[in-house]
Parts: sequence; C-alpha cells; structure tokens
Amino acid sequence: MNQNSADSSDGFVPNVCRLQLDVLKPHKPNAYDFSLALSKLDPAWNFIIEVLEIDENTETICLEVTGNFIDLEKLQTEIIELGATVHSIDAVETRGESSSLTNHA
Amino acid sequence: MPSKHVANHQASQTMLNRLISLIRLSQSQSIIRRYFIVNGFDGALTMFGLILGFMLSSNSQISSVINVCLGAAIALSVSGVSSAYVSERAERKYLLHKLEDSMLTDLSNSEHGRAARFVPIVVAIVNGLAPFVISVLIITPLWLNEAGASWVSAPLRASLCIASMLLFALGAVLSNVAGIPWYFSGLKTLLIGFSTALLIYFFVGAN
Repeated sequence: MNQNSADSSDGFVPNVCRLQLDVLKPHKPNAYDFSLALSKLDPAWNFIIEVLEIDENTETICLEVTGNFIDLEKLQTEIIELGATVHSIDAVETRGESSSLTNHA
Repeated sequence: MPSKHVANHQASQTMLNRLISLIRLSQSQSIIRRYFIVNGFDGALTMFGLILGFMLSSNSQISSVINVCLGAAIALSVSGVSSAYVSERAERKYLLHKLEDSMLTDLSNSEHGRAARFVPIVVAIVNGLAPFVISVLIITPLWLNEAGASWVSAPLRASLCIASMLLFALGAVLSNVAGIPWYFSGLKTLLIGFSTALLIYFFVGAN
C-alpha cells in the first residue's frame, strides 16, 4: 500500500519526509553502488548509508532517506531487488500536507 | 525507419549495461578473462600442433587439413561451452545458497539470483567462442588458398605464423593482469609454442 497516496478525510495527506531503516545486505553491491541504485528511484530523495557491522557474507547498514513523500513500498522493492532485506524501521518523520498543495506540486 | 533503429540500439545498450552490471555484481570479470585466455590458448596450441604435424607429413592436402582443424575447433568449442556452463552453474548455485543462508531469505528474484542464472551462460559462451575464433583465424590462410587466392603460396607456414602471433598476443593480454611488460609475457607464451613445436618435431619428425 502506498501510504502517501491515502488522502485523509480532512484534506491532508501524510508526507513521509524521513525514514531510517536497518538493512541487511550482501557485500556486493557495496554501500556506494547500493546508494547509486537507490538514488535512481526518485531524484528528490536523499540517501545516507552507514555501514554498522560487517560479517563474513553480509553487512548491516543504517539507511536514512530524506525528502518528500517517501514511498516505503517502492524503496523496499528496490532493496529486495538488490538482494537486501529490511530488518526494521528505526525512525520515521511525517507531516500532514494539504492535499490542495500536493496537487499543485 | 531511423527511430526504430535508435530504439533497437537503446534496447541493446540497456541489455549490455544490465549484463555488465550482473557481471560486476558477481565479480566474474577475472573468471571470464581467465577462461578466455585458457581456452584461447588451448585452441591456438592445438591448431599449432595439428598444422605442424601436417607440415611434417609427406603428402597432406589442404582440404584435409582444413577439415581436421575445423573438426578440432568445433570439438574444443563444444567442450568449452558445456564444461564451463556445468561447472559455473554449480559454483554460482552454491554461492547463491550460501548467501541465502546468511541473509535468511530467498534471493532467486534479486540481482544476485539473476546473476547466478545469466553469468554461467556468458562464461560458457566466452569459453566456447575463444578457441573457435582463434582456430578460425589460424586456418584462414588455408581457406584462402583453397578458395584460389594465389598470393597465399605457403598456407601452412602462414597459418603457423598466425598461430605464433596469436600465442604472443594472448601472452601480451595477460601482461596487464600479471603487471609485467607485454613483450616479456608475450615471449613467454611464444616460447611455450616453440617448445611444443620442438616436442612435435622430435616425436613426429623422427618417424
């Protein structure tokens, strides 16, 4: 489900502007290539990747996405496509956006 | 139509980029390069040996030499494709399962899964094409002579020259990997060719 497309009853739509995910990924693609692949999703989203832990075949990264109307489903699909999995959603920042404003954007 | 050509060109570029990214992801560049050199070297040295054997025989017809060399090239090619595919597929499957165990998830629909399926095909094609292309290049003077090109007066010697040059070239290509001068690496592989020639001359020429 795309949470950003859901229009609330009082004319506001939720705008997810920051997401922090705990992601487990293989060593390849590395953090650089991983962020390059994700950045193709939306030019308005910014990605910050921090490698937290390195194991024999995998590494745990903290993926922080900032921007407007961040689509978790779209993000997760690409993460899975790259061979990684989302372990947990560690932080979310949202704000209500007027639907008339979003229609103009 | 030009627009159709542009669309086709873009589609093939996208496919090529995708293939390159899968090869990079699976870190197969060095394996492909190794397979190309190893089997290309097999093809060059096999043709070198066959042609030298024919030169040492008293009456060998060019058409027979072409058939024997082409037969050997096809056999080398088929052997290269099948052996590389079977071994690479098994190896890639094993590595994918190992990664899936670490990730605790099914990766068959991810880029890693696609790489495990497509990279063995690419490796097999390279491994099969390398000896075939090199063999065809070596026997080109024989074909030209058979087709009536009178300027190829000594086709067997010309083929041997091409085989020697290709052996040198394969060595020179390896110099990038080994980090040694290209002429030194090329001379080393050429020396292997000459050692083979000596052995053949010793065993076949003595009869």
